Amino acid sequence: MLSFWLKKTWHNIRNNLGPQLGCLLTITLALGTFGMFILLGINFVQEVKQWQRKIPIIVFFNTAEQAQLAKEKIEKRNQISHVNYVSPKQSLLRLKKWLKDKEILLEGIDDNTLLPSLEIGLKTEFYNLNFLTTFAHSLKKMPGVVEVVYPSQLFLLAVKGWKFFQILLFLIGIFLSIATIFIVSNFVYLHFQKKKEEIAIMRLLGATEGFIRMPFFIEGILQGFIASLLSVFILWLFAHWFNRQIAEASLHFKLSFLNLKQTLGFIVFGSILGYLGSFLGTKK
Amino acid sequence: MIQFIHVYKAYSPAHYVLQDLCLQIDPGEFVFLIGPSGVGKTTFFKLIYREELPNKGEILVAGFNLKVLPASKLPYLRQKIGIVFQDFKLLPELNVYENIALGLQILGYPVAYIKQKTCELSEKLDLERKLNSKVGTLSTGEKQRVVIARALAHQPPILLADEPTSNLDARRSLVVIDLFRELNSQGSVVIFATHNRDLTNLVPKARIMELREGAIQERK
Repeated sequence: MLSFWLKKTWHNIRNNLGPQLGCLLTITLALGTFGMFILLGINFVQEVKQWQRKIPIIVFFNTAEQAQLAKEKIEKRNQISHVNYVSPKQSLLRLKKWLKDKEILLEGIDDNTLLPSLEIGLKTEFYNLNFLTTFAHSLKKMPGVVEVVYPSQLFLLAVKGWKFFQILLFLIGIFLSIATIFIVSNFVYLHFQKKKEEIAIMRLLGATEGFIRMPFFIEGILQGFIASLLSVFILWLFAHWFNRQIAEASLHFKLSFLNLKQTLGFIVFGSILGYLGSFLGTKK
Repeated sequence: MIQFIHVYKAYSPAHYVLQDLCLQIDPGEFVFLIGPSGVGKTTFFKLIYREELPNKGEILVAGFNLKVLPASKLPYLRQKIGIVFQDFKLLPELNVYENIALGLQILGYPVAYIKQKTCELSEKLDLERKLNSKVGTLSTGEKQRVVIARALAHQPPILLADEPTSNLDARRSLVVIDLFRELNSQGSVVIFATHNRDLTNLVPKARIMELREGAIQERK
């Protein structure tokens, strides 16, 4: 039976090549656009995660002893990835480096003016606003703490940005999925109508609806599969071009591509859309 | 196997093709359905494989009551019937081999059996050199033999043959009737519709039914 279905699918594709290609290109466009948003989303998440790792929580203490005591206590907590002690001397050096040619501004300031501090990094899973706020409050209660600085506003902005992007991605995903299903279903419907006479003969010979529709399902799945494969290839070309032509020249941001799991997921998703389209097309 | 109970069939209110038809055909019967063209032989067949429904009456075929048969069960009725269509009904994009094998494919037979059965029938019907040809390139007689091979391939319990020898020469007509007799000897019902009464002499034990003015009369 399978060989018959595959042969039939091959006949269908070969005898309807023009419309097949038209349909394939349209789905590739829809899936490619969706893929582009996924790619941007993945890169956005990666950037936010890196940024999170770079910006620590900073706690200023009155004395170095108090800071060292607090370090020992904080290190024991399992939410912490690292705690660095920064002496006033180190702080001054950092400041000088940061100011570069404007060191003159630091005249009259010596390391005694600056406070010793701790730079605390959290494990990735604890980088959420609730934990940050609670943790900052508990730090404030430690002996000798002068001030706790944590990236609350920036963090909130990133979280909001990511949530907005997720909603946007979801809506675009839904819209383009519906568009893909609609394109495939219309294409399959027209093809099914074209083969009406042949299908009537198969019904007279005792073919079940499943048997008759199977080549159309395979056709839809193939359309989705090839279109998603093409989209992935186009996206890869785009990422490659972006990193060579744009990123190196003007930006310091490199676009990372989908990993194997994401690529396979995208191709399976495209194939499922193709199947759904052909299912609806033959049901009309 | 086949039972018509007070069956009426009309395509227009004024003209009944079949009128109060009652008949029973038992397993293993070979039936000639004779009558001139346009008398309703094809309609009789269409009622059996339920392409048409009667206006009145009930039809029972292979355990199915066609009046109440749901669409989802229709394929299973048709899988029990082999049909030699007068207008062939071949699939033009498939070749001869694929057309003959289609019925077996639908029933899900293994590839090896399909190959064996298709080759066996194509040999008997002189089609072995045409197996790879598209049906569009065949002569009318060749097309008719392909349809016969397709109908016989799955050894159906019921065979409906609508003018199966109308385009065949005498020698090939005999081959076809022999094949039908062979199937019939295995217990299948064969209904052979023809306008050629002489053919009935080739199967002496056959039951002969004549369709005339919407009614069937048994002949000796």
